[in-house]
Amino acid sequence: MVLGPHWRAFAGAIAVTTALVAALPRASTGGQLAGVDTGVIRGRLDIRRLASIPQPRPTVGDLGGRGQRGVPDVRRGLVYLDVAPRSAFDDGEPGRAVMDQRNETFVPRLLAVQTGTTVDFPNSDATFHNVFSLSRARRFDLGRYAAGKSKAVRFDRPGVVRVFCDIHSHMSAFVVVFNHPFFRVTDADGRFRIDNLPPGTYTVVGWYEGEARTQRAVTVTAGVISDLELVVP
Amino acid sequence: MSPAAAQSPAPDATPGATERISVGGEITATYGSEDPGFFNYATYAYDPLQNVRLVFDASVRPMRAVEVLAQVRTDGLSQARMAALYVRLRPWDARDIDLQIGRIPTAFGLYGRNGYGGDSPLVGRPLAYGYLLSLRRDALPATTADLFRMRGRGWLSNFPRGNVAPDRGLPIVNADTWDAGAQVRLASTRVAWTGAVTVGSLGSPRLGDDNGGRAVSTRFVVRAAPSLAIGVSAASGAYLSRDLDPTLAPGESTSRLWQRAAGVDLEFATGPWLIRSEVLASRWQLPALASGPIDPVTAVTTWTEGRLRVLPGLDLGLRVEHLGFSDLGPAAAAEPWEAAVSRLEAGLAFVPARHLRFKLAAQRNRRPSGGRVRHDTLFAAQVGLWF
Repeated sequence: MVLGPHWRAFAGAIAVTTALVAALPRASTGGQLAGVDTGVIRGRLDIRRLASIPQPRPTVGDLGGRGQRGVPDVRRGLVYLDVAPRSAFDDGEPGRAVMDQRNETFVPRLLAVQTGTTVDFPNSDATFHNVFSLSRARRFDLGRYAAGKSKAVRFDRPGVVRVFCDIHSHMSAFVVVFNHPFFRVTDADGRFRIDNLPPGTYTVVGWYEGEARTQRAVTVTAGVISDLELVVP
Repeated sequence: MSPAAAQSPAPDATPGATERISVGGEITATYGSEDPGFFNYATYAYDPLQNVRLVFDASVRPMRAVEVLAQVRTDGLSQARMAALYVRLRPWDARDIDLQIGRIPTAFGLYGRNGYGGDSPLVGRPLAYGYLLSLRRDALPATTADLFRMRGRGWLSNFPRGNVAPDRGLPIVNADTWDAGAQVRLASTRVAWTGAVTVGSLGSPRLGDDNGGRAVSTRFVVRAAPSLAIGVSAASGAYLSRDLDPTLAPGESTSRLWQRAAGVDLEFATGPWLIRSEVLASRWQLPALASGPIDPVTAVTTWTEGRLRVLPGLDLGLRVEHLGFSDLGPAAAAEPWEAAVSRLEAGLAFVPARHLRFKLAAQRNRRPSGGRVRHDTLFAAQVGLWF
């Protein structure tokens, strides 16, 4: 059979694409999922070279110290798909999440949510707090409010929202908003697991403290758990 | 996956004692009107409305209960000076008890510790914390007429006893310089008490003693409601230099001539509003004049400041204040010993990014009964960057 020039070009493109995908760094296969048409990416984001505890500003002008405060969970990173599959953008039900204010600390320091999510910011301290952001993705100021009170903000645009307290300059946190559900905040050991991924090749990004630090391409196969190690250089 | 389900459960914050070294700093550049009436000057070193200030803070915690804190500051890009250097001891982690020793922040009043530059859209400081009165620590009037002659001339005051060279007078509270001494603070959720013993005085903080007297100051704050904090402050200390002892009558001593002050303040905050107000009275005991002993002279000042957050990153502020003085002289011809001052200041602050702020402020000063400039309207723009 003789193929026309268009068919030859098409076949060539298929061959090149196949070769490129085959050449991508492969995640190792970590297990099988029986009877499902989606895959899983799980692994670890290694941020040990970066993780340091941000120090609050010295309280030179204060009449006393702050006492023992909790240290934010700064060692947590975020893993997400740079480009999500089309099906990810199907309408979902708006959710709700909580970022507490305890011991003059936002807890958790990193919150990842999907667009449409409303985040509650309760004040669990004995002092006043304020929550505000000047980020383009969501600019807001909840004013000052007392212990036991809570205020909420809905996040409708994807992006990184840096959150601060106007009263306590050492308080800061991140709300990262996605327009798809394929993201995960790592646990304290850097581990993550993203479920229900349609088969395909994705770029997985490791993010920490406001920056995408590393990324890798991963091919997801239906019924397979792909293991991935992301190391921040 | 539900929209928020991708978030791991919020962990409990873990206690940490690893905060050993921390640093911070601020650069503030202000450009404004000339101030020929010296309504804002507190020192000859720089004009607060035309100044570049660099502040560097550091804290070192060699062990859990001990912290060494320092602040180095330079104004007008001149020589850097150590504005604060002290040790903070916190013997019990679970109890809010602190002991601070060294060049320490003043315990008195609402304003003198932080200056809250980032917290207020205004550029000027309250009159009580910088405006120079005619009284000096190294010179004394011989008659009431000497005091009347110097009304409104605190920028360049001179008296015939002691150092006769013209020099600046004293503010009620010097917010630019901190005193040296020791301070203890006890606090709970609702109340906090601080007491301090220092070598200088409110208006004349010092690194070393120059009169053998001691200053004591105290502050008590009660959080009457979550949105309302009420503070009461008091202080007493010898304010004159011992160089003046030879000019005093027998039996008088600079170590026993005091400045005493008391104040009540409140801070109310809710939603976009932040209101601060303070009433403060100060008395200075003067040695006998040529005409005989005189009653202490008094200054009373009131200021109220409001801040409204109009939008995220955009604040409006307004402060109204008045500084008045007691009468001196025979009842029939009594006159205030200093020239009363009032000020209205309005400002706008724009914060485009967390660590950057711009301010625009205008202030109207009035001093109808003294000084070469009786009233003046001043403008200032300021940019501040902190880390």
